[in-house]
Amino acid sequence: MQPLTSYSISRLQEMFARGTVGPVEVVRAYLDEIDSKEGAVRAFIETSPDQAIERAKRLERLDPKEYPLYGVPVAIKDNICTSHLHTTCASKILAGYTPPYDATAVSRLLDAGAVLMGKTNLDEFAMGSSTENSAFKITRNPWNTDCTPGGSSGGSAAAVAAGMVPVALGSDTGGSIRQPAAFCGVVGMKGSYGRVSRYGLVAFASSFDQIGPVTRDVMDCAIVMKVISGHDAMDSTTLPGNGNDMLGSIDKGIAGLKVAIPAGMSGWGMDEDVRHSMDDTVKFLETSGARVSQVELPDMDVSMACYYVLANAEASSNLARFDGVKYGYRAEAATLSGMYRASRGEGFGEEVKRRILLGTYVLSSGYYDAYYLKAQNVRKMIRARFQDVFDEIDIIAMPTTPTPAFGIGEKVDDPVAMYMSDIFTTGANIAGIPAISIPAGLSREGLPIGMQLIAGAGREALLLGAAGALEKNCRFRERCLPDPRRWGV
Amino acid sequence: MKFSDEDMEHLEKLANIDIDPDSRERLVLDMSRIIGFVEKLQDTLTTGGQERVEQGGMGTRLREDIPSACLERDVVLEQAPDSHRGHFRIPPVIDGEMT
Repeated sequence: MQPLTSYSISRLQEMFARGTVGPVEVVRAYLDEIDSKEGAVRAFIETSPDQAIERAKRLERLDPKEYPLYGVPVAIKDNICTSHLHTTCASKILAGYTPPYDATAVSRLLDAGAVLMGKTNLDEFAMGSSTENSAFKITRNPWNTDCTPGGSSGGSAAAVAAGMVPVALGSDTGGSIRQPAAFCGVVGMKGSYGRVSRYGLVAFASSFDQIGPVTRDVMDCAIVMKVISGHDAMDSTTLPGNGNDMLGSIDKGIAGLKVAIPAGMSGWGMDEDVRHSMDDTVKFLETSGARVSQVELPDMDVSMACYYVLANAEASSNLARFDGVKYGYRAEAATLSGMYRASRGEGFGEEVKRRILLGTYVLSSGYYDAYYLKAQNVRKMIRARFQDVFDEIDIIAMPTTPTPAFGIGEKVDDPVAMYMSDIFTTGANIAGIPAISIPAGLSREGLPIGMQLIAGAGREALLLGAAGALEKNCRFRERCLPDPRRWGV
Repeated sequence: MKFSDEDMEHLEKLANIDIDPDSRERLVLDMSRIIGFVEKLQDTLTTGGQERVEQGGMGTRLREDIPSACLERDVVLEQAPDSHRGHFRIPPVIDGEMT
């Protein structure tokens, strides 16, 4: 018999329905995985084994057929509010904070029968691309523990890649689900802006942020997206309707779809192995009946600049709430203004300060027009360009990142070099369109390479169908698994 | 564009953040590099003066104005660093001893 921790969500549901296994057994199996691997991977800020077992015991009295995620262990990125677990955003300023409510995405998972296993590590306030900016620990890539897992949802991606949970939630502001999914050889998706409620997601850049799943395969991703999507009265930016057509095109394949490859990709510092993987993807698309063409996308350097101006402007405003008054860390000071400045100075890490300062700078008198207003107009142009592209084609295919995972410490002294690892992912956030990363192969060093598919707004079902077809061709999970000896198992 | 020490002091005040003297020099350098990086926006030709791009394209949709349950005061104050008789307590707003 296969290990219990190897089954997909659908297979687990069949087994639960037949009574061949129960939630307690499955949860215990995953807790054992966490126990044996966490020391090496360091994916979690907090685990909740007792709560998980209690919850699994309660589920055993319920009918599995009524819950689409019955007994499925799930980890939650630690910037998503959980009322029975701390939510720290990997920041000293929120150490020990327990929110008084669950995020909508979390309550939907719980209503669907999922079991929370703990909170995963991230770059502080989701600001970073390597999970090295956490105030608590550095997460390691399960494929090579000398490498970063990417970020900011590095804990979620590493936990799924190492088999510690089958599903984790992440958040994606400029690529923070897809980039770590690519680095760790798992599937990561962000929906259209407004597809998943942001209620209870600690805000970084509100017009970019989206919660999404990290899973082992596309079908699991679609099942989780179906559960967490849909309008929420607590988030006025959510799209109308229940958004539940995630599985509608899952078996339709890619034949007949119009797929575009961005022109001039070779000029973006792409690693040779990533380029080979892209070439293989194009060959597959052509032989499987897709109509492949090239397309001019907005200049990616300019997109990055646009993203960093707008996202950090929003961050400087959103993070003003952390002032030592209502919750979180407070420094001792004689006056209120001194307390604000000292609490924020001592509570925030360096990258968060850099971004708040940049955001404050581009919004300040004398620079507002040149940076913030200009970036808003560039954003308008980028969105219009993507709309034009998706009037003509169905899917854009491109690598998720220019290189596989980089080494721990390799980019910490150069913030701009770190930012550039998101160069292929920020476009989808700027335009508010859905995108998914799936593992496509391994580099010669044995590190995963992710391929990204992007669709027009509201076309998640089509995107998941195309991703499923590409996944079948890559057969990544059948061919490649991280070596457990790396974790001392 | 050069980002100076004076710029940093101004931003510290605007952003309400004390910058540790040990990291100040590096942060000034980082800010110069990041501002240099976003400078390329200036080379992009744009039209119009719209300030905010609306995501989702649906306009602002408001809920019906119906009262509903909200968080209990005690639950919220549990997380406060300091509270007094059902309120958040803060240091004096102006210099001087708290009375």
